[in-house]
Amino acid sequence: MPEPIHRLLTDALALVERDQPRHHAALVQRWGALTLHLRVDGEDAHLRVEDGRMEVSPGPPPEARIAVRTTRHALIALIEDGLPLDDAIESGLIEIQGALDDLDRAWQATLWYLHGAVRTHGGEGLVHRLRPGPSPEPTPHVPT
Amino acid sequence: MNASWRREALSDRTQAQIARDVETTDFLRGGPRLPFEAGRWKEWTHFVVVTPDVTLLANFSFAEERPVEGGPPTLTARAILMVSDPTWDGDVERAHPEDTELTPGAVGCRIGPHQLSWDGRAFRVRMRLTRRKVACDLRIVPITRPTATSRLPFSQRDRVQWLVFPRCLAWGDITVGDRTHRVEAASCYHDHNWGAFGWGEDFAWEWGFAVPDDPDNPWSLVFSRVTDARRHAARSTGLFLWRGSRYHRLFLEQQVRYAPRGSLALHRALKVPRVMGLLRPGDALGVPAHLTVEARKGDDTLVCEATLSDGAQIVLPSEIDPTGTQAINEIGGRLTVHGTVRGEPVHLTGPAVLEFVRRA
Repeated sequence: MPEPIHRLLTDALALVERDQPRHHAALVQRWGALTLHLRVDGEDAHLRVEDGRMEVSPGPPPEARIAVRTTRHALIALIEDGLPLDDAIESGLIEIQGALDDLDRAWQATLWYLHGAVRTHGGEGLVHRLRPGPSPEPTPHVPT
Repeated sequence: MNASWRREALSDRTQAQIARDVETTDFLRGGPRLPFEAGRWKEWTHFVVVTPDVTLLANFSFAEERPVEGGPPTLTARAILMVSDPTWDGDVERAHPEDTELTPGAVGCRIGPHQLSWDGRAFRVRMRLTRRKVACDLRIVPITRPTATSRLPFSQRDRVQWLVFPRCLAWGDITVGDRTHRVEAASCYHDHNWGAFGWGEDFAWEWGFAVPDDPDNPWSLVFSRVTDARRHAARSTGLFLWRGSRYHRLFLEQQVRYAPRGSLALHRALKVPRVMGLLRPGDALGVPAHLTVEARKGDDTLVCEATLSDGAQIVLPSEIDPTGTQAINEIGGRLTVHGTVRGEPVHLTGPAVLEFVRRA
């Protein structure tokens, strides 16, 4: 049974909040009042800022300005196999809905999170926990 | 040109000299020595094997980092293995400190499953990536004596030490996916760097080497250039020439003219660690497509023309800018050199591997 996605996201955000607080603060500041509905392999969670920190809750939100639907395999391909984000979106591995301004704001905030995460030493363990089961064969790097 | 230089380079006498060079200069320092270096120490030892079919980069790296903002620095070990045959594959792997062996003063180390050792005549490089089918088991014999350690000025204060064995011979296996390349006396370059600096500080470097297609050709060449990050001002430029096993000629600073042309864009170049591709997307590398380096000192002249065609990127987080990155572009191509040094014609045509470090 894979670990619930909301728990993984909570731990991923807590790692950056604890080890790279400047990045977490910038993430929170840029995220503002957005609510994001995330569905990963049919499992719902939502993200928003509450009391100055990112909160992840299970289930769908009452309403969301951004909706993202994807799979654990697609997230691992992005993080570990070099799948470019634009390819993931164009091929439908990630579906994103929302107003352009909101999407831009969420992406700028997410970049702060990513920059914080790559400066910690805890990311590999989180990716391992993200795996849905036995690891798929790594995707070969094929320039196109 | 004849093969006598290789017989001389592999003779017991020369090999004993080179072994002394390795053992007295190429040992791991293992950490900062001066107070101002503390917290910013970096050291890596690097091998590049080049054959007509495969290029391999193997790197054992130690760096003081602050994985917790404002916390104490921790010495972090990473192994990098990248192979092109001709599609690039590879990765960067960080090892837990308890799974790392680093002894200051020793030639060799272990980073997780990746091992570098020295047996008195040859290096042994054994690496096997955990998540990808990329591995090597190589015996590498240096056949040139090194430069005296060069001190590259990364800033007014920081000097990074650079020790180069431009030409070695490699035997062994390189595996990528289901393909295993057996190499026999393949050309190999080795260097070792150590010093204190931060990724993202105000520097860039350009460095490269070339070895001849013809193994009997005695000429080997190394180029290096350190500039400010915007590459407006050169801080150090050098062109180093070896003849056979010996260091033959050095051209420095104003004696070297550097002329990059064009821009190399590699569609979907491999970026490692792969997650860094999300932070540094795109095809532009900030790397020239062609490069001319001309050196002149008295009657000695060398003209080097490089055409660059292929490569991969190692991307690191900046230690200065919280949303900055630093890219180390490992670029392959072809180089031709012609000129006259000490009254003797110099001709070299062969593969070249260049490294361009760029801030973003």
